[in-house]
This record gives sequence, structure tokens and C-alpha cells, in this order.
Amino acid sequence: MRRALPSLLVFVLGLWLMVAPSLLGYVGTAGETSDRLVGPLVAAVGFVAASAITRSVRWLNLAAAAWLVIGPWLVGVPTAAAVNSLVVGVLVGVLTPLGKPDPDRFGGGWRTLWKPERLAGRPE
Amino acid sequence: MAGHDGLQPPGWRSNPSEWAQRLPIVALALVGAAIATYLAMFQYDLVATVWEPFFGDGSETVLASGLSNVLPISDGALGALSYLLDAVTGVIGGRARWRTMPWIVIVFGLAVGPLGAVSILLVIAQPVLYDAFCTLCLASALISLAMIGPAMDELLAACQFIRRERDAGHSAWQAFLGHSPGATAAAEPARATSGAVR
Repeated sequence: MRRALPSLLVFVLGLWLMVAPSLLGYVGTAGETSDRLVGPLVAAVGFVAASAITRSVRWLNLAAAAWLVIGPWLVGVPTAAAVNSLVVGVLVGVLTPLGKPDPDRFGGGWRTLWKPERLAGRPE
Repeated sequence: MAGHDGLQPPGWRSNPSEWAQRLPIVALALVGAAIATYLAMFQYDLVATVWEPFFGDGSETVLASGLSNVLPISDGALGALSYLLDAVTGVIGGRARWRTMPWIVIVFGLAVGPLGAVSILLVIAQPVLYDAFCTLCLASALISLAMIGPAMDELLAACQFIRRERDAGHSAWQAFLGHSPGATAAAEPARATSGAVR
């Protein structure tokens, strides 16, 4: 359960992005569009990554984190949106690599499907 | 405790086809089906209003939007059918179905995965295209996401089983259908290797 915590925090950060435009008052700007697109993606990836078996999908959020950090400078958004995006992006980027799953729980994990030498119970 | 009855896949600490793992997913799918059916009833004018505690007329805007009705049946009706498929493919098969019926496990995994993906796309589209949120649509999206993790472990066990059968010189197709030798005789290697891996 402790290993799921970083992913769950990322899920909450995604939810925050979904409501931030209304709470911080930048509805109708490019900052809103960015957060409304990226927020649900970050939340969904974090939520699914909270399961150990699908923890690997968390890496998708590195792309989201990169956009959150550099996107505001590319498209031009209000200051509140830019600061929020930067802070959330850094947090997502730091939290995402944490919480490595233990593949031994799942007979070697997904990689066994393309690395059969790691497959448990494999005949010689 | 599961894991000592020979039903768990080789190298696994638990059996992903155990009822205790599957029934919660089925329950989630039935709740999702109920929500989606209710939303579809609104879309087909069988109920006049839709429950919306937070976003004003957001639900009505979303449910009547062009995107919701781009297919021959509404997205609510499609969602209800998908959830029912999840529930049905979730209950079919016994406690060792990852090796006795891999095909149903794979159909189950394929049914659960895309449903979650479509849900997220709809959640993104609501505010961006229509400036509206829909509480029950968000709840439905969360339910479909919650089913993914618990369904994927069983999918992995079934794929590993097929891989193992093929590496042993059997037909992957027969393994998929649950007709290969390991489908019924997997208990011995399961005992031997799960001890070793642990």
C-alpha cells in the first residue's frame, strides 16, 4: 500500500488541475484549456498506476509533467496558471518514478511476455 | 489463504482468478451499468431530469451534446452495454480460469481496458468542448478506471500461461482455448516454482 502512495498523490494532483482554473480564476484562458486536457490524463494515469500490476503506466505522466513545466511558456498563460502548472509539473515529475512495484508478486511481471527466460515455471 | 491450493499461477503469491479478486470488479461493473443506464434513460427521454448536485445544467449539456450522440446509440447506452459485458465476462469461469479458460480472461481484459480509455476521453471532452462537467459521468469514469488494475493481473496470468504452454511445445491457440495439457495439470509446477521464487 505504501508503494501506491506516490501514484495516489499524483491522482490528487490531476484532480487539482481539473478544478484549479475555476478556483484560481483563469477560466477562459489557454491555461484553462491546458489544465482541462492534462488534468484528467494525469489523474487517470495516477489512479491506474496505484495498482501494482499496472504501475508501469506511471511513466506516461513524465510527458505530462514535462508539458506542465514548459507548456505555459510556449502558449502564454496568466501568471497564476503558469505558477500552478510549474509547481504541479515538478511535483508530478518527482513523484512519478517512486513506488516501483515488486515483479516477483506476478511471476516476473509483464516483461516475461517478451523475455520468456524470466518466466516462472517455464519448462527447460 | 489462497496460494497454497495449487490454483495460483507459477511464481505468484495469490491467485488472480480467485472470487475474492473478481467479485469486487463485477460489483463495480454492475454499479457502472446502473449509472450508465440511468444516463441513457435521460438521453432517450425516459426520465425528464438528471441528478446533478454540483455543476448546474452541466449534466444535461454533456448528455445532449453532439459527441454523446455521434454513434448510432448514445454513449450512455454504449457504456451500459460495456459494463454488462465486463460483469458477464467477470463471472464466467472457475477459480483457475487463467489456465482453464484464458480466452474469457483475455476478452474480459479487452473489455475493461478500452472502456476506461473512452471514459477518460469523454471526461476531457466535456469541459473543453462544452464548458460543462457531469457528476455521474465523472463517477462512471472513476468506476471504469478502478476496474482496470484488478482485471489486468488476471490478464497477465493468462498471457503468461499461454506463453509457457507455447514454450513447452504446445499450440498457443489450444492454450488460449483452455485445451492444452497445462490447463488441467498446472498445479505441480505451480507448487514447485512458487516456493523457489519466494
